[in-house]
Amino acid sequence: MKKNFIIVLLGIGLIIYASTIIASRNTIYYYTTSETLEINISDSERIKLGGFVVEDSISKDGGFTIFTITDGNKDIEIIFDGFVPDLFQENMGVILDGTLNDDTFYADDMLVKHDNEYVSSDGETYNVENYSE
Amino acid sequence: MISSIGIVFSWISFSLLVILFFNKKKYYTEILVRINLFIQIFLFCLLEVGLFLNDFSVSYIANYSAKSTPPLYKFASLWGSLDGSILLWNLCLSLFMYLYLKLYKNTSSDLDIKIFSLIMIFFVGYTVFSSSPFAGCIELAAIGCSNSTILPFQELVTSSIGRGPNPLLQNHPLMAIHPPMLYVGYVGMTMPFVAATGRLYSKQGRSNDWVEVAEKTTYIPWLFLTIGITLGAAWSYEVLGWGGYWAWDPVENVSFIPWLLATAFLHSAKIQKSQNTLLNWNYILVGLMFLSTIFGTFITRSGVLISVHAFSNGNIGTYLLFGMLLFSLIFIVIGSKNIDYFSKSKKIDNWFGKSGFFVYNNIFLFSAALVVFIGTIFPLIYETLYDRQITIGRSYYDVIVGPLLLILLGLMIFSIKLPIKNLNFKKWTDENNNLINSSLILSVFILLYLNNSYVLVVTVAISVLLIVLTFKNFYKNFRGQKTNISYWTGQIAHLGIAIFSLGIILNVSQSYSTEKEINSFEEFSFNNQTYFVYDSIEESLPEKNVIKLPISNQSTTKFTSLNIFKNSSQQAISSPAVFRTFLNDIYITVKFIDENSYKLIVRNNYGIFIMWIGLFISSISFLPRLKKYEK
Repeated sequence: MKKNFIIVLLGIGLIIYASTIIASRNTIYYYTTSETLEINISDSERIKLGGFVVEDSISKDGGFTIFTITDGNKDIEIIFDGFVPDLFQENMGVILDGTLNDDTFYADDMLVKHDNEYVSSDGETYNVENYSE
Repeated sequence: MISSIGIVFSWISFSLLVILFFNKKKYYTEILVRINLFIQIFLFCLLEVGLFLNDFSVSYIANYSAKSTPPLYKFASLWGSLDGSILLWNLCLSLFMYLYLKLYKNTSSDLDIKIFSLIMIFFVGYTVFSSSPFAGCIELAAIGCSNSTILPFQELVTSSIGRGPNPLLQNHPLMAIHPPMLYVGYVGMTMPFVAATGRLYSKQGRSNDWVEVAEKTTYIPWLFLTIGITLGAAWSYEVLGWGGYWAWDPVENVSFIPWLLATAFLHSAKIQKSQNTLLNWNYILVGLMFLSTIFGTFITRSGVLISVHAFSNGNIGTYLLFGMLLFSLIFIVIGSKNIDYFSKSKKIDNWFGKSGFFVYNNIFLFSAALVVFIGTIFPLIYETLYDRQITIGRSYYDVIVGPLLLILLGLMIFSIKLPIKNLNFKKWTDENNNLINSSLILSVFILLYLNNSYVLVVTVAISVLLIVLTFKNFYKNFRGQKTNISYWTGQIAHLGIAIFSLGIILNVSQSYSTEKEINSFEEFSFNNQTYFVYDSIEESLPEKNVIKLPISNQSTTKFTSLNIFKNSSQQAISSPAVFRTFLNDIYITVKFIDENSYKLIVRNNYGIFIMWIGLFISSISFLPRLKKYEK
């Protein structure tokens, strides 16, 4: 009984250890908008940028989707050339992949942090202002 | 009016449940459970009436429904957001309480109903004290309602036009069915929990009675969870134009975790019944099944997904966390009372016999659940520790969960005929020599022809072998043997999984996509087929504008469309045109329209139809078991 218990605990420990290691190797780090504007990055360096889509900022121009994202403090304009996921909408958290050029972010890949909760326009489920640290 | 009636009846329901919790007389128990069920049905209907009458003095209706919303989606708006979905949750919970009372009630003690009523008090309490779906609107927003009251008989204001449901939710009927299916699955996990804890508390439960009831009560939730997850994947693929079906998104993960645990339990319960072993393990599984559903609700509803820092904004998170603590405590206390009973659990003697294989099955299913769980909470923990936002790439799951599922698939091969004593592998391979050889030859052929990774080859070899062996088994034994429902249910479910695995591995390894820029009345070729693009058609419905683009191959014409919802400033939602054959789908979505020129994304998705067939077989395999429910 005791022996089995120890074996099970060891097994669980091993799985947790192994998956934490693998998880940390498969993480996608991203910068918030404030961080991005503070750090120095060259025009060609690709980074990941995360934030919330600002209301009424989405527009289309040719094949590009233009919108603004924020972390509650700083806004960055995004010019996006890629497939826009259906889940993409205002107030939604997105992670973009691309380069920063004169405070405009050129992205071609988007990851939507999706939640099946509808976030209403007056920020019922979360408040962008409260979000910042 | 509707607001006040709803609030008053929620209060009544709450007080009845409290009475039920303290009640000692058997006679009243049944009456109280019945009245509670009626009130919950009434509350459900009441909110539906409100939705159809466009009673925008109710805050929830003003915020999640609109005059122009079509009837089906008005109906579905009830569970379109948090407050309303708790109403559906409570309705399911009271239905299950009634079912439990009628069929599985412990005859010697009332403790199981007490635990059940405590769980219901917890969820009904949320609508009474925190946020009610019937809350009246006291302050208007530009559209909808911005402030509400949970007290009845207040001065209410009525907004003239509702905000309407999330466009995503009103794009396809599947979205109306998929969440309730999942809810029934989630909420149903309460039954095994109550059965186990309630019975083990009284001495009478210390036979294997509790595990029998817990197993039976897991059938319904397991079935609905399976269907719910399948429909979710189908909706995601057939309606949302992203071409995938599963993204290892936290929202999906938390429905997968209880499914994995329940599947593990359905297997290990069998071994307890026949060999009186794994007693403590089964108790733990039952507890985790239930707690993981509350954890799932916590993760998706509390806002922690957006950011750990957003957690403090909503109160449902704290509330659910408190519930999880409370129920874990009940679970641990009752468990520790039974330590001497659990220690009677027999050791497993035959590691290559029936019990051994069931243990392996449990190890791998449980590990998969644990891995998915860690993947889900890892970003939250990381953010708390390092104050840095991350997400986990899907490669994490591919690397760990993939192999685990592959091993499980391999184990299924042996499930066809397992001796109690250790399996003689040599005899086994001799018996199935031809089939093993032919599936190996097939996989070598695939290796040469498709020139692909060993994962594909191994998966194909195992699934083909499993399918062939299962069919051989059907052919040989189905009539001769006395029909053993539980055995054949398992075999059919495994067959479905094998077919599903073939589909998914084809899909993962063979699919590819490309972008096409094209004008009206032009054609393009893809995968040796020519597709002709017509001119787009605009259609205006009360709730949305649809731009349809007809595309045809030689035989059929399909539409890919962009749906632009009025009343909401969201961007358009695109729906795919799918040309389906048995082996592959040609899946076309519009990325962008400019006058008469279009940018299309064309995908060649293999194996989707095979996947749906497999999942369908697995889901329906369980139907004959439900008949045993009445016993």
